[in-house]
Amino acid sequence: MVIFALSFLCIQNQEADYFEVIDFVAPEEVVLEVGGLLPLEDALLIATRRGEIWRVDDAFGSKPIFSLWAEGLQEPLGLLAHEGWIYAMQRGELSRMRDSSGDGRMDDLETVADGWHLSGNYHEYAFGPTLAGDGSLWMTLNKPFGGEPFGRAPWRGWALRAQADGSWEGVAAGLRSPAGVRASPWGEVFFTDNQGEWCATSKFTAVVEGGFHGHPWGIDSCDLPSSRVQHPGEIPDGGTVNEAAAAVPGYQLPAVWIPWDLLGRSPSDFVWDTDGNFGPYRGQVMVGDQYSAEVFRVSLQKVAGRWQGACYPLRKGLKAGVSRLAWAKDGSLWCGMTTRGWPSLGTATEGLQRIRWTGKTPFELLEVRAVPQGFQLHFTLPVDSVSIVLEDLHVRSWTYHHWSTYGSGPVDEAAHSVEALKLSADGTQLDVTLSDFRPGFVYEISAPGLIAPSGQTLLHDTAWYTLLSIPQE
Amino acid sequence: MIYFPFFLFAFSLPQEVTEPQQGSVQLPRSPSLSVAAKPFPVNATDLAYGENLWRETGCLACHAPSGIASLSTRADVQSLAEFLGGSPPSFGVARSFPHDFGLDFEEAIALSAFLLRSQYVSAEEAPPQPGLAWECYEIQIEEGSLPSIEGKEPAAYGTTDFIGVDVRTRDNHFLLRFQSKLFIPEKGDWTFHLGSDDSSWLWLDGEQVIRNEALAPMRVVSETRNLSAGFHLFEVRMTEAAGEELIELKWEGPGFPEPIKIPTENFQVQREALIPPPFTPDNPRNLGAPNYRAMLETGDSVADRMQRDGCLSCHTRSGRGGLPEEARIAFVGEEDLGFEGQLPPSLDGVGHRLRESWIRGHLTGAQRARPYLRARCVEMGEEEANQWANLFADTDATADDDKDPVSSESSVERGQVLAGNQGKNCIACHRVAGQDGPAIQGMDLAIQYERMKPDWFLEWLESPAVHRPGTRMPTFWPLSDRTSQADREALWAWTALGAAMPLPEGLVADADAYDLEPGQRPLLHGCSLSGLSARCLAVGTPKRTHYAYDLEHLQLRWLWRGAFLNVEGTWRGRNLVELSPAGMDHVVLDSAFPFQLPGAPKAEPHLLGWRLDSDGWPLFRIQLGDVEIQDTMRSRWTAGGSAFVRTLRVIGGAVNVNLPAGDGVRLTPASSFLLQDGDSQEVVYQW
Repeated sequence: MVIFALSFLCIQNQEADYFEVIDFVAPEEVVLEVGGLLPLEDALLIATRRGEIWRVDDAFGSKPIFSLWAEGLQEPLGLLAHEGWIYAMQRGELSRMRDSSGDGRMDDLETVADGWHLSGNYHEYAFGPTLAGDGSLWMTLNKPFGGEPFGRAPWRGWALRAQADGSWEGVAAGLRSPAGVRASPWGEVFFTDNQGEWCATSKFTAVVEGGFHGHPWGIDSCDLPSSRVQHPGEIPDGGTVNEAAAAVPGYQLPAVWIPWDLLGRSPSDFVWDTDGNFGPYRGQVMVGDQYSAEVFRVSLQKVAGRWQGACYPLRKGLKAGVSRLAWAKDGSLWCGMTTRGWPSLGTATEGLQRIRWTGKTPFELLEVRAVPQGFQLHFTLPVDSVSIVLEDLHVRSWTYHHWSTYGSGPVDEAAHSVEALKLSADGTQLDVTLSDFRPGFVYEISAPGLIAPSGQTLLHDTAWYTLLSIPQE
Repeated sequence: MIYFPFFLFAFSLPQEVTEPQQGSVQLPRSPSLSVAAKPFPVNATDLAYGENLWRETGCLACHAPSGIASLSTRADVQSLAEFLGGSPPSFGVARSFPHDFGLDFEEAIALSAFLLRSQYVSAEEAPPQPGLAWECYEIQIEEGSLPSIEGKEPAAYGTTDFIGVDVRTRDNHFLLRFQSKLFIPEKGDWTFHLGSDDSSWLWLDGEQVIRNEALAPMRVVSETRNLSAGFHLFEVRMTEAAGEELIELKWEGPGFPEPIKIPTENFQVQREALIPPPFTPDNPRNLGAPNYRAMLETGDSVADRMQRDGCLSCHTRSGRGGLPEEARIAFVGEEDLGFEGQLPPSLDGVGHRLRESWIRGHLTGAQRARPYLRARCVEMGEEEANQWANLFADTDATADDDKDPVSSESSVERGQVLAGNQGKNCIACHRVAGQDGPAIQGMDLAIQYERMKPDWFLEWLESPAVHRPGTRMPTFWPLSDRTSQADREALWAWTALGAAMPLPEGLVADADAYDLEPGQRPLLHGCSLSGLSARCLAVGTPKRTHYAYDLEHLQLRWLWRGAFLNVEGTWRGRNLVELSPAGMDHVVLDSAFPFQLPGAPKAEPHLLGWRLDSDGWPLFRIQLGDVEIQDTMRSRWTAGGSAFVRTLRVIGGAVNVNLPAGDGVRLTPASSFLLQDGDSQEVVYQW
């Protein structure tokens, strides 16, 4: 009854109150299928899937000025400024470019690294590069999909690391469609992967050197001299991901499983908010989704030497599937979009928008952290203790199949009863004690009844935590 | 559409099958095929297509419009098609048709089916045949479950050999239905594996056996049933919403331990067909000697010889020959070009009008100037073509009629203006280098230099109506205009660039259709190219002369002229499709790697990258050992077309260069040479 009464007092709020989406209008003749976004001191460079790089001046104005900086690249899906050059990842090579004459057009392209070959399949996308802490450049290569028209090229489904001299090695295998690859602020490289065969649901995770991330397509390349991965042997088709992790040498469970259709379907690029551009979420990761036209959040926690963490909704309603993210100098987030070749929510098929924090703090699950007896929920604003009801906190867990079938639904699903709840004195931290706390499972934590003293309900009441290990203290 | 290739009948089916032999057979067969003759499955579309070919390709020049009635008792489809198609005779036919009209396999079949149409038997009357009946329904599919087709009409239907999506009428939102009687050769457990993208269902004897429902990529559902020997009613349906579509059915059971596709012979359906009378030693197939209309000519004039060989059945020369009235009516082509767009031309003075090499190429079928004419000219061997070309030249040519008038760069520009919509608007009725004009698609202007002699070009433009009464070609200059000769010569200078001719005003590349056309700078497109590699750079140049560099194998591979590229394969949808050149004069250079270090062990070449000069021309940089090879191409116009000048330079050591050629490509001054450190060499590519 109390809850019923309270819900009358709840204040309806929406994402747009906290994160506004600002449209960007490109010239009509430019097809802005964004593959790479690179804000420079004085301009914005945009690589398109059509192989162009546009220089955009006055990008924040109502009439941005476009000039063609380069063309003829093969589906560049990443840009990086490094040592005076503009690096771009093409399908078949990592290149770096410059405008040596200063006439506003690229005139010198150097092939930095190549040799992983293409079989000609559309899905052989190449992503990167990102600059790791040790100065090396990392790239990720998709495996082919939807028919194999021209043969079977090596190194597909790999993360590669190139040195300044262009030599490179295969650092990790078993990736499927790693559409985002970025070094963290501390220099360690992470990637997102997209659900499909041998990839039960999408992932956000660190590239583990020598690791096998689950997809067997490219594992024959383990036997090539440049591989840093031991061949994992026969990969069992079936069973759970936890069974695969126990049975397959080098098998890596992801830091964060992103449950399919509960939070997007196809994650792409991601950026850390190191500067607090998005207010309370400083230190967290913003991730774009190519299907759901949204940006969501990821938080990380290191337990027993491995990253694990949680994912949370942030902002839906962009105009198309999000492919690339980059912080603009005013602290807003450029969202580059393209949906050519896959379904997406939204009203457009390509383009560019920005998400800007309005400065207001939403009432949100700021972070879920694992503790020995359960979870610690942190909130952006204090929780009204009146709204805390044991039965109204829902916790479920599940795992996934590891198999050749496209995607997996939840497996070994269980509902957990909450044994105790304890709210901190300042109201921003809620300790949740669970019965039957199982490592290796994804936990869905849902708290629909909570409100802030002001009457606000949670903007999003659910998060998903991937519990690889239970912290000992 | 033709459903059954010959060989299925010719080699795989027994003439008489009674009961399947239990136990011993590897591939069980349906017992129902006790037919004496070999029915050839057809449908109304095949017959209509055949009739069109009969009326339009030129058969009526010699034959009565109704066909050749007696053929039905003398031939079956396959023997007649082989006869018409010029294949080596096999079905008891001792000879082939004396004229090669370049009919392809499908055309020969359709034409034969039409000629033998009195052998037609409808599905209801036909004996059972191997195969399945199919129907395709065009319905909006939004979910995985089975939609109702109650009261709906199929968009298309027919019979087929196998269950597959190739019979679909569109790529998204359809339902396919396959029905047949399935012959089970032996009682036992039979397992069906039905895989599909998206959903599919299987019924046996009216019972739903498999339900494979999902809007998802290919997935397989398997079910086992204990079935009695003999026929069972069989039906499969599949639906597709959007994206990829696929259906595949396999079975396993007694005698089939591994899953395989169900052999066509195990399906039985009644299908409409042509059924010839039984041919026996007493009643053999008989495609007798032709009865030509006139083989009585004994003279030795060019026209006499043309009449003997049948040329005058269509063409006229010296006031003789030409088409019978019923053929004139039936012949079709580009209506807007009047009779010139529909009928074969007069050959009066052809040896003065056309170059000898063009006549030769026309007669062998290597090049044809009027793609819009549905009537086919014969294709003959090199030697015979050469004899005709010589004969016409010897008889008709006048002194110096192939000598080019003097031209200059400015006359090319003048010609380009005259051809465009600000000049004489030639593009209103002519194509230019493979590109359609805004209105009527007459003969391509880019081939005229290769085809016409200059004298004739100038004479024809001066007074078309005098040379060909009734022509649609306008008389652009009054005969009194004495300055007009310079205009005509300017048009000739522009025409002489062939497919490299600059596009006249009024023709624009269609960006919405993904056509790329270079502007003032070379235009670069990174892509997958057919037969090269998935990592190529195509370079379009302002001289409408283009090349492609294979960045995977580090080689110049393609040269072409005219339109640059249609890049739909790179830019549309998700599928990366290998591109082919859009224009004309496409040559493929051989693939041998051209660079070698003298005396040194073989070094692996690497791509260092590419640079652009201030005008945007690319220079490719290749590392070989310690040597850097710089490779750049520039196009230029030449008399009779265009050429590439390739400049090679080496830095850091000497390199042996051995540039591969291609069909019809000349490299000057040399294709093989040694380049010393710091040296560069120009090589001109002409083709």
